[in-house]
Amino acid sequence: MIGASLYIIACSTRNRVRRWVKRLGEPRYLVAALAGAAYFFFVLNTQLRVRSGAQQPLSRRASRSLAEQFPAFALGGAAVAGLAVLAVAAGSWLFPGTGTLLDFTRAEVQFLFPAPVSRRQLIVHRMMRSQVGLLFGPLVFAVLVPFGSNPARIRMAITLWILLFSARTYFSGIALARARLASREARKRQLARLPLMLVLGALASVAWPLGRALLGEPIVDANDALARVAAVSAQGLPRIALWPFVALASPLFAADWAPFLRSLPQALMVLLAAVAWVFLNDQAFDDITREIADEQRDRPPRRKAAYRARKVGWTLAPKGRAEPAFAWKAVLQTLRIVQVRILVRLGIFVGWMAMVASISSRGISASLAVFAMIVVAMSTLTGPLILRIDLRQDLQHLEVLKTWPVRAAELVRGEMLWPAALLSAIVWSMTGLALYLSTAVFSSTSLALRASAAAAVCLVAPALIAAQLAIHNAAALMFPAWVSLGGWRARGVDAVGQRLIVVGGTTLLVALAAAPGALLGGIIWFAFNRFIGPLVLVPAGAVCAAVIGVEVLLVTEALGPAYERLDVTAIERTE
Amino acid sequence: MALSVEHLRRTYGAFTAVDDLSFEVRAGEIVGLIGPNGAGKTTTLRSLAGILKPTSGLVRIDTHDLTGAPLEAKRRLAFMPDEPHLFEYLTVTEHLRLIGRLYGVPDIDRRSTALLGELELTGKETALPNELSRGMRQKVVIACGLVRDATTLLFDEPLTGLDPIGIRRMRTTIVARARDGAAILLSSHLLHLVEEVCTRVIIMDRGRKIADGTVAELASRADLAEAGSNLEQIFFRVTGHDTAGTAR
Repeated sequence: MIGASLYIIACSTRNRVRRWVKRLGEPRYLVAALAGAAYFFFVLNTQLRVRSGAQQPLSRRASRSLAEQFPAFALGGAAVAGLAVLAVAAGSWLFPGTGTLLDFTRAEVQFLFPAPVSRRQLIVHRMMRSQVGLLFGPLVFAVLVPFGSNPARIRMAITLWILLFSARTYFSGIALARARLASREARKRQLARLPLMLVLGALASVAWPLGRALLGEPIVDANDALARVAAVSAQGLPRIALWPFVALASPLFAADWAPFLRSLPQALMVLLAAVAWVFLNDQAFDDITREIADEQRDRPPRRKAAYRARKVGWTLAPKGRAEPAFAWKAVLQTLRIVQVRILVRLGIFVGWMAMVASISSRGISASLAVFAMIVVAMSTLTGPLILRIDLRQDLQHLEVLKTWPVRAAELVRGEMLWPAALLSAIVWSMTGLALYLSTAVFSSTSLALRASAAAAVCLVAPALIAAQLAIHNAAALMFPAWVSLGGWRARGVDAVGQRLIVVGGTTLLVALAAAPGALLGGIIWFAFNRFIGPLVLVPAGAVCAAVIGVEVLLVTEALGPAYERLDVTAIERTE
Repeated sequence: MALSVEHLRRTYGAFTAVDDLSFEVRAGEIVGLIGPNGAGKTTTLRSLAGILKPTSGLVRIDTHDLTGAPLEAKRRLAFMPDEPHLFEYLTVTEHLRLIGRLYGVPDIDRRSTALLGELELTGKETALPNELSRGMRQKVVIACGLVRDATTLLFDEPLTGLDPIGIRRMRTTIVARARDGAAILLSSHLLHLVEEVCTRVIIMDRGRKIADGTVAELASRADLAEAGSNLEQIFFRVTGHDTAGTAR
């Protein structure tokens, strides 16, 4: 089977490279590849110059290892990393997947499952196949990370590979163990439960002393916090409980080869233990692979999110314009994909924010106000790039969209409507919160100025959001092969170049689109500021927003020919 | 003429998938589009549905040019693809409601209920596509096409994934729609189905039309006289195979 696996890996790698080279024959991919290569060259060149001492002050700082770069890490870095690994190990029992090792492709299900190959050999095959991705990530990270000498980077890459491989194996082990939890035999269930009990036990034995150490007395600084974590993890039961997790991470914090080589065997032992655990659980493989095969059968070619049929309290009216129908569709998509996992992540984030706010020297009000302003800025400037519930996702349904009797302008406006409304709602609520708490941050600024600025933000931000969404959707129509569809993401140098071009182009176009509005708004501010004071920001903002709004309408109206020219082959080629 | 195709040509780079294809489908007619794999049937149907832009040629739906007046043409057209393509976050009823809104279908709820009953989807109204079997998803796609009064219906392998009862019902539905005045173009590899329901047959091979007529007309053609009188025999003869399927 190892020979067959190597054959599959070699053939698929060769074919992927061939396809990539062939793709470069198209000018847009070639341009993107050149842009991506230029980016990597620039980054690497900078790194090499730094390391060769061309910039002495930076070189001294950058060539140091992680531990030297951040002295506090030498003290408690491994312990903190071990704690993080433990938290992930425990958390992954709560939110398990099948584990990417068990994420067989359709072809593997079709060809290898019926083949006379043992379950264990199938797992070995997946482990071998995953090595390309597992090696690539740490290598790129080690090259691009802005600090560390060359040997330190090699050590970092090796450790990251061990960490990632262990994590992937462990997640698959969880999937197999969970499958065994449903077994009718009590002994099998007990055995499957054992690792969970061990992880929870480790968590409990560490959480209590750690909580006492951290919350007992106020923390002076990061070094103090790290020292306390190191102290807790170095003695008694927490030391034993944390050992496998610290062992995995500790090579990352080795200052030289000697300590690295001393810590490496322990990390490899943990990795081997994870592999052995997966092999021991291979009895459950039949159950889980049946599930995988079923999923593969029903799953469309690209991985898609799971939805649940929730009622959303909005029934589409049988008559009316097309735009609200698209918005309705997007609302259903958003509300039906919301999962407990996302809510928990949100809860953790809010909890973290609350914790930061409570220990901040500014006080809770000021911290929350700053946080609200950051959210406003992020939602306005990066929200449209991240929130892709528009044509960028719906291009995968182009085959259906193209048969509908809907004008391109209506389609694009309809696709933009919901993300624009959602981001605007976030901006408005956060601006309101920031205004409410603004006294804590801008105590010397008058309420009139703060309120006027907030109102102007509420007017201009939706226009800027709409402008960016219009640009992203226009780009999706004009350069469909550059759009990452759904969960699918293009990889490779040309993909990096494409993203750079898209982000750079969008930034430039937004700046150009905002310029006339900003100019008119500026004229209004200049003309009326002396008469109505800070209140002038409101009409200035309104005029600016109106100008951008008109531009957005014109852009959507101009997209008709691009939509008519577009056909599904442009999308399919990206698969 | 409900559907008129003139000199349709579609290329993918250097490869010509459909070459100089011309035909018409009148109201009430069911025309079968058959051919070996790679003959260009699906490319033809997708070009007629507005999914692929023809490289050249003219497509008219009820006299409306698909390229010049796409909205008017598409309003009169329903395309049922072989691969059920649904929005994974919309239920069965919501799909029909969305179609009703976009096509301006009056009384969409009543029509939907009746159609879901006809296609044996009653009880699945609130199901998402991932809760449906492939056959049921295919039925939803067909329901989306039939819920409006399209004058031209394009079916690409409409029976794929359907059970025997579904197949029989679908045959009845197709014939009933033609009787009501729709022009139907049906692509299928099931030659017995084509022979049974179609009033005329177009055979394609390597992107070109190589035969067009009723089964009786094709059987009486001089060069096909030896082939036999059923569609399967004619098909093999026209595409250059013997009856065992071996290329001659």
